[in-house]
Parts: sequence; structure tokens; C-alpha cells
Amino acid sequence: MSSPRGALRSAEDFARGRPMLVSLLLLAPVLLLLLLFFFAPLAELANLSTFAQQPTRQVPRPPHSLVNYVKILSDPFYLQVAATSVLVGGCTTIATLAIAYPIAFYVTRIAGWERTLISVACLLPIFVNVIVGILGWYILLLPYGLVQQVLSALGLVEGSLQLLRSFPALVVVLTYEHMPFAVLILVSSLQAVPIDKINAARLLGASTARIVANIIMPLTMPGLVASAILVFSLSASSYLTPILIGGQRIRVLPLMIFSYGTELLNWPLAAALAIVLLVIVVAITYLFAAAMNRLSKRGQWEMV
Amino acid sequence: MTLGASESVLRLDNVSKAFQGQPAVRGVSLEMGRGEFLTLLGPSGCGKTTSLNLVAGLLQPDSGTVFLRGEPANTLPPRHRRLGMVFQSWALFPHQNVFDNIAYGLSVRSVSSTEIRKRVAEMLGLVRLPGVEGKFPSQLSGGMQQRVALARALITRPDLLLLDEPLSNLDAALRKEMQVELRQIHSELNVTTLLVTHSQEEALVMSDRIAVMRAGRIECIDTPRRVYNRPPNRFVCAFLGDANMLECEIEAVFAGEVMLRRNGLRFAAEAPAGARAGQKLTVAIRPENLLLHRPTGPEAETGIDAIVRDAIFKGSHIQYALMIGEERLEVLALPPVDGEPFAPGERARVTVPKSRIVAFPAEAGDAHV
Repeated sequence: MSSPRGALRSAEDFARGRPMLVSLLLLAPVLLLLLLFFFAPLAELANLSTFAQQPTRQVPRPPHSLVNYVKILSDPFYLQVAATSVLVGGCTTIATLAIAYPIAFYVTRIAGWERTLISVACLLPIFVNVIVGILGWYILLLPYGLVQQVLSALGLVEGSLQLLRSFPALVVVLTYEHMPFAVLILVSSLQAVPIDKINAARLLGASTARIVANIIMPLTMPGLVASAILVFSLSASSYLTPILIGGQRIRVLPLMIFSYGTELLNWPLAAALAIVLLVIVVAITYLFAAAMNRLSKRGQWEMV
Repeated sequence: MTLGASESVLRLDNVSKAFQGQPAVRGVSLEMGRGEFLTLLGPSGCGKTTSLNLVAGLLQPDSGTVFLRGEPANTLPPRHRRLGMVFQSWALFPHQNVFDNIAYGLSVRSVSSTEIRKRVAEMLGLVRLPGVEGKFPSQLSGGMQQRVALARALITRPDLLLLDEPLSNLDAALRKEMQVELRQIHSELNVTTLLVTHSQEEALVMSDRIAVMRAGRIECIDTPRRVYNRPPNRFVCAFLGDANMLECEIEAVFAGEVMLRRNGLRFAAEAPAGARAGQKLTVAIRPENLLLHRPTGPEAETGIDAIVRDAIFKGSHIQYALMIGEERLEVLALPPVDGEPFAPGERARVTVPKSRIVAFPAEAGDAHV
């Protein structure tokens, strides 16, 4: 008990004892890196998105206007694409958490070789190249592929099955891709819930469902929110999986951005779409985190 | 002791539990009557908390049966056992305020909200914590959290209250206060209570009966007075308070008494069962049972000659170290109301009341206990 607290105190003393200048110097490398490689390109992207037309040799700096945003926000086609992106992100997040949460809970309650086995199985997808993983699913989902063979052997389906290029298939593959991150975050979060509190609720007469809803979920809310944000932002902005699994059938914003940027060579519109995607993801994650924090009264209580 | 089915709240029948082949509880049997306060006392690792968890249903026994209200309850899930439990960590729900914490056992049973409000107020009165309903556990002191945990365990009116070292996280002064308060609450509600503790003081202050455990077994189970004054073996004697332990030999047996000898020391004691001359015994005498007096005065003729080696003033009493020949004895005495206490180097006479000497057969491993 005393040693982590002692370490914390000395870290605080360390920070308090340093003058401002030293703190700034210590932060300088990461600030510089962020400025050069994140904020500057972002500003350039925002700038680019307000160009009325594609810059050319003759007109390297076209006049500024909001025409691209007007075009996106007034055209049902783009709104539809944005909605699909949000839907893909949302469904993937729900599916990932629904599967990862019980797995993570189970992992925290076991030990020894069983725990090692499940942990390794959960983490393995991280070590497989993303494209290899997606192509594996591609083969499984092909018409007359393994999934269909199993289903028809069981007598559940007949004839050709259009799994590829479907919305559920996209969500399934995105879920597979992001599962390890969610499990990792949720395990550490669930690990921090003292078993005594769960036992206390059991002895007070609570059913398992009630214990999960009343005790475990509120106490692991920070982990749930963190993994939801991670999975949502990664899957809503994923490009590889939609292009390989969904093809052009399921239109999401990243596909549009790529196609305007490289095929149709309309950089300002691509930039505007990228900014729209960024704003949507940031706004949704912020609102979600705020709502969940309010729901779990975060900040009002501390762990005891 | 065997109780009728209506009287027996808890019965353990030869219950055993092992963890990865390591036995934690070995063949424990005990029975608790309605309203009784029983304490499982023992050093850490003696199996007392495991026993409590077996009663709570948080663990399943490997063999033996747990009876609740006279019914076998081995497979009864914890939430249907109608028990209240206060954990060592108190296990309050940090994200719920005091009201919701205490009300939890009722709200999961869909009791009406007016009834819940009434009973929470009742419980807060019982544990003397009015007006903290809206606070979160982290805003309360340790003692207050402890009371909330107790209120939460009692609000469902359990048949049996389990206390798992509930006072071990409190400071010494607060612990004393809570011991007395727990006693009061117990007698007020007459709730059958099973306490687990390693503190002999807690056990002596609060219990109707004490079960002393060692290495997964119950060594003895009796009233605090009898466990303290007539311990069945050396371990129980040493665990509950201090004692002068003397290895002696029986010199002679006559009419229910034995004459014991050790080096130059000779004294009489009540005869243990099956005593015979020449037998080796361990004798325990509690320091407060040795009586000291000056070699002059009316009692000068009685007792054994001794020299005071050391006198430690401890406020309410004085702790003497005596030498009788080569033998060192610890004596606890009240400071004399008039006159001076013994000083180091002074001569004294010691008397040993026969009824206060406890004799155990000398055991093989006992020398190292």
C-alpha cells in the first residue's frame, strides 16, 4: 500500500519542485512532434477543404469558400454515406463490447494455463497482418466458401449465399479486428473490481444480471468508455476492411475520401469529407463519454 | 450440544475444504443457537475465514454438510441463504451513496420505496449515523464506513450475521468503541452472529462462545471464561493471553490433587484426568493468577521464596519478572492502593492458587509453540 503512494508523492514533489521552464523543456520533444506532424497537417487539411476548386499549376491558391461543406451537407448521398459510417462504427462497437466484456470478465476469474490460453487466443489477431486477417475472412465468406458449406451442410441455406459485400459481414470482420484492444482494456478494468463487492451483492440477494448492471458495469465504466471510443473511432475510419469486404457496395466516408483524393483528384472535397468524418467521430465520442460519465456519476465518488 | 431443528440457525457437520490439495478446513463441526454470538478465533491461515465463506456459500465444502435453519444448504446459492455479511474491507459500493448502499438488499427484492425509506432510517438510527444518506462512502471515515456496512448487512433482517474481521481496519480507540457497540446491537436485535477474528480481545469482549481454530481444526469451543481459564491445550492457552508455561513432573497423586515438581520448585495443583506419579506435564499459570506478598507480615509463612528481577510500570498494572531459583516467572499485579510496589532486587513470596493452575499432558511438538 505504502510504496505506490510513496512513489506518487515523490513524482508530485518532483513536478512541483521544477520551475516552469524545465517542465516545458521536458515536454518540448513531444509538443514539437505533435505540432509538426499532427496539428500542422490538420491545419493544412482544413485549409485545403475550403478551396473552391482543385489547386492547379495556374491557380495554386484558389479562392476560399465553404462550397465543399455546402455540397456535402445538402446532398442526401453524402449524408447517407456519413450515416452508414456512423452505423458501421456503432454496430461494430456494440458487437465488440458485447463479446469482449464477458470474455474479459471470464479471464479475470480464472488462472494458470487456462488464462494464458484465452489471453493468447484473444491477442493473436494483433500479431497477424491486417490484410492477411481480412483475406482469411474473405475466403471464409466467399460464395460457396467455408461458411456457406457449413450452413448448407446443416440444411440451413440453399443456393448461392451473398455474404461478402454485405453490411453484417463488414461488421463481423471489423469486430474481429478490434476485439483484442477491447479485451485488453476491459480485463484491466474488470480486474480492479474487488471480488468482495460482488460477493456482498450476492449475499444481499442480487441476481447475476443485477450485479452486472448495478455493480460491475458502473465500476468498470471508464474501461467500457475507453474501449468503446477506441473501437468506434478505429472502425468508423477504417479503410482497408470496407474496401476488401464491403467493396463499393457499402459506401463509407473513408472510401469516399480515398476516391476523391486519388481517383477523381478533387482534393478540396476529399479534405472536407475528412474534416466531416473527424468532427463526427470526435462529437459522437465526446457526447458518449459525457453521457456515460453522467450516468455513472463519475467524479462524484472515489473507489473505496 | 445438540439443538432442535427450530433452534439451530447454523450447523457445520464435519466440513472440510482444501485449496489445490492444501487443506484449509479439516472436519469442522459446530452448532449455533438462535441469538448466539459465536467467534471463530485463530491465527492467520487457521481456516477461520474459509469456514465463514463456506457458511456464506461463497465456497463449496469438499466434504461435510452446512445446515442452515436445520436444512442442508451445501448447494443453496448465497443470495438465497438469508445471511448478512460484513467484510473485512467492508465492500461498500463506492458509486452508490449511503442510502443506496444500505437499501441495496431491499431494492433487489422489490420492496416498496416508502418501506425502504423507513427501514434505512431505522438502520441509520441503529448504527447512530443519521443524516449521511446522501454521502458517498469515500466521503466517510473508516468508522462510519464500518457502520454503513453493518447497517447494509442488517437491513434484510438476516437469520445469521457474518462478521469477517470487521474491526481490523480501524484504529485501536475506534476498535474498542465498536466492540462495545457491536455487543449492544447484538443484544438489541438478538441476531445470531458469527464473528471471525484473530484478536483475542475482540473474541473475549463480544462472544457468548469462542471456537479457537488451529491449522483448519477447532481446538476447543466454549464460553470466553472457560476458554481463558481452562484451556484444553497449550496452544489455546498461549493464544488467549499470556501464561507462564512450566514443564513439570508429577511427584505424587492424592485425593484429586497432584504434587508437581520442577527443579527446586514444588507446588500442588488439581489433578488432570489420568494423572499418575512420574508423568510429565505442562503447567500454565496466567501472570495475573500469581499472588505476590512481602516476606514480612501475616502471610509470611505461605508461598515460595522469590526475588524480583524487574518491575515494569504499565499504568493500570505492574508487570514483574520474578526469579525462583533458576526459574523466571511473569507476574501481573495491580499497583498497591497504599504502600510501595516491589522494587527490583527485593525479596517476595509467591502463592499459586491451586484452582488457577492448568495442566496439560506434555505434547511432542509443544516445546516450540
